[in-house]
Amino acid sequence: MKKIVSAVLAATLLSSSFIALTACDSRPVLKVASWEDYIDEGGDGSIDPNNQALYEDFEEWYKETTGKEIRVEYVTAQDNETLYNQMETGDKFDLICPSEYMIMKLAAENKLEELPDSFYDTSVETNYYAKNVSPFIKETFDSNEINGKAWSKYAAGYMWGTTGFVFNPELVDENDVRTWNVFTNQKYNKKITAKDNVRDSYFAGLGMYYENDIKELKESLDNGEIELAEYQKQLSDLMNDTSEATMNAVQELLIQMKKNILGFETDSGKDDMISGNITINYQWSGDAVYAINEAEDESGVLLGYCIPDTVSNLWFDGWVMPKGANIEAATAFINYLSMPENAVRNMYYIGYTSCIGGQEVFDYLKETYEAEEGDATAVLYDLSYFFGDTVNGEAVISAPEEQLTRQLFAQYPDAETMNRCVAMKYFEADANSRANKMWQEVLAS
Amino acid sequence: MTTVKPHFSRKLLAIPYGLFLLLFVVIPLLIIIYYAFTDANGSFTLENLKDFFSGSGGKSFFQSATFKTIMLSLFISVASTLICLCIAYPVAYIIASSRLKNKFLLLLIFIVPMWVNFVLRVNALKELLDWIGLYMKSDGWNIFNTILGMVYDFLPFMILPIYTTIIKIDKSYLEAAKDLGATGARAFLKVTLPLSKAGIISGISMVFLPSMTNYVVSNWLTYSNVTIIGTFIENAFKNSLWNNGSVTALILLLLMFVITWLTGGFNTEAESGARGTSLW
Repeated sequence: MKKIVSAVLAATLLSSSFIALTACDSRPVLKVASWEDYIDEGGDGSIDPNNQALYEDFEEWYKETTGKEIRVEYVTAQDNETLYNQMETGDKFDLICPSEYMIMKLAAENKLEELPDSFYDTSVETNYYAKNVSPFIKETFDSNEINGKAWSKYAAGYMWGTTGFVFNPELVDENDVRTWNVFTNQKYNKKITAKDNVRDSYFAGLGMYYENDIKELKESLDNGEIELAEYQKQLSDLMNDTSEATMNAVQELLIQMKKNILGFETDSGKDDMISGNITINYQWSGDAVYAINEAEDESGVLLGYCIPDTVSNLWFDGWVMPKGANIEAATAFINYLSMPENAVRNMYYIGYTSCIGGQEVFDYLKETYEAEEGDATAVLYDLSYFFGDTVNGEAVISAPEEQLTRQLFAQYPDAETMNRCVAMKYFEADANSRANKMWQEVLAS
Repeated sequence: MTTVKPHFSRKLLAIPYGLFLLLFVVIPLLIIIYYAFTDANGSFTLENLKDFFSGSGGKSFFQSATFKTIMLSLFISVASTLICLCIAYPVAYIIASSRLKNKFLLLLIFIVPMWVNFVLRVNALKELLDWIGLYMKSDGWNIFNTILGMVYDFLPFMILPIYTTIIKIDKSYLEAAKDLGATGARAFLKVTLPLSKAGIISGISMVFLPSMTNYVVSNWLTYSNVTIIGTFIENAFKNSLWNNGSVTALILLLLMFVITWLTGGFNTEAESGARGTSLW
């Protein structure tokens, strides 16, 4: 008897750790992975506190339009690398939202489903992405290739932005932050921070290393010696140079940078700008908007955002479908998020800039940034490169001049600025291993 | 009625623990070894090991970031462990030998911080250092602050094992030593200290390894200016270099093994010493 009891006890102990609570929901599941706070989750942060999460609205919308049931399982990952590792270790998703370089890596490793041609058919009523995507994003996604295929074959844009510097105009000369060399500028010793990851730091290092080459390139563009497309191609080649010699040179520059900066951060830069610990912060545009808003609300400090005159990074996060995804529901989800009113909901909640154009988005922008009547500093800010014919009439905003170095510029840089922004590709295996060693040398210096 | 021998049931009860060991100790270790000695395609290679010991950019291993970082990490963890020991032993000794009825209450003072979330504690320490004016003062202070952070975080792990061994020491040994004419100091050196050796060793092993790899402390308290070997392992895994990360982790493991062996951590005598069998 005792034996049986103890056997049962052992079995219970054992099994109790493996019992998983299974939900009694028979609807098919659409498993979506994205980032923390990267979709309107309803409630307090939402444009209307009565909203439920956007993915819950999608379930209802999907049933109404297709008559089919779906349940969205929405999970978040910490960063691209974690998401990639999760997929490597067997997690299955129908739709994920990685950054451009990770999309390229996944596509190159043949881990993605292609978007069906019907997804881009603008004659279909519910193809909101094809109908509303910004012409600027569409052009970028069509003209850049991976595996000999356009990006748009794999990815639909979600949010995008630039990298640049948040700075305090009262303590920093704007001209100083319009160059990557600000990182080694003694004037801002220990008052400037960099990003605690190899990619953003390497990009900054390349910006310092190729400063003069890029200036010459720009001159040939201005002289009419080369076309814009050629200029952008050469610029992109320079900023994606991972040759051994370049990497060694960049390593030395980054070691110099490390001696001058306060340190490397991922999240704390925003707070240190607001508290005044630092006066310049290397930052992604979406977080820059947040820092500028917070600083003004909390301490009345007016921070600015600008990007170097030579070159900057165009980044975006896009929806892609891993192999084996439920393509019908996944594309429907992308389309639902691409309805301009939903794009506005997400932008309001997240603070980043949507890849979607459309009248509602433009109206939201006007409502947020348009100068008050009689504002003498008002200037006309032309965003037609981004909105194109997704809006009625011209996409021009009359904005207070200060917005040209503040939130409006951070959210929607002008067309000329975007000409000098290039995407950074993923590091090939060999370059990746060298980049890691280079970064170790910088960190240990 | 038949009687069943009770040791059968005990064996059965051990199954969950055996499985636990297999799942969370043996298998992960095997996975690390697998990744350390394979390449991206999964075939056997010593390339990762070679890569670890080769410098970069024309520099030798002894000039490389890896070597420098291991040395710095070793320095930080040796210093943290020694400081922890110097603080923890007197504390544990005083509490254990105090006449207070509720010794646990005293012990609690040192344990309660452990109940507060670790990340919160590090952040609070950062704010405190900032307020005193020691935060980000210079490179030397950065290393000092890292050690301070490690000591702050791991001190309870040193106090507890030492306290538990001291409290278990049979008081009659001390009385016997004094009857035979030993002074208080001599009795401490000859009786209490040797008998608490097991606690000291287990305390050292609880503090040494974590303070070599706990990069949250070094990153947060120094704005990532001080980099310890844990950061390298994290970066390798983050950037899809699992093989390199595994080699680093494995080498660290071997290093710990050697250090534990040198300090006599595997010496069973220390264990039995606690029970008083090999006192003199």
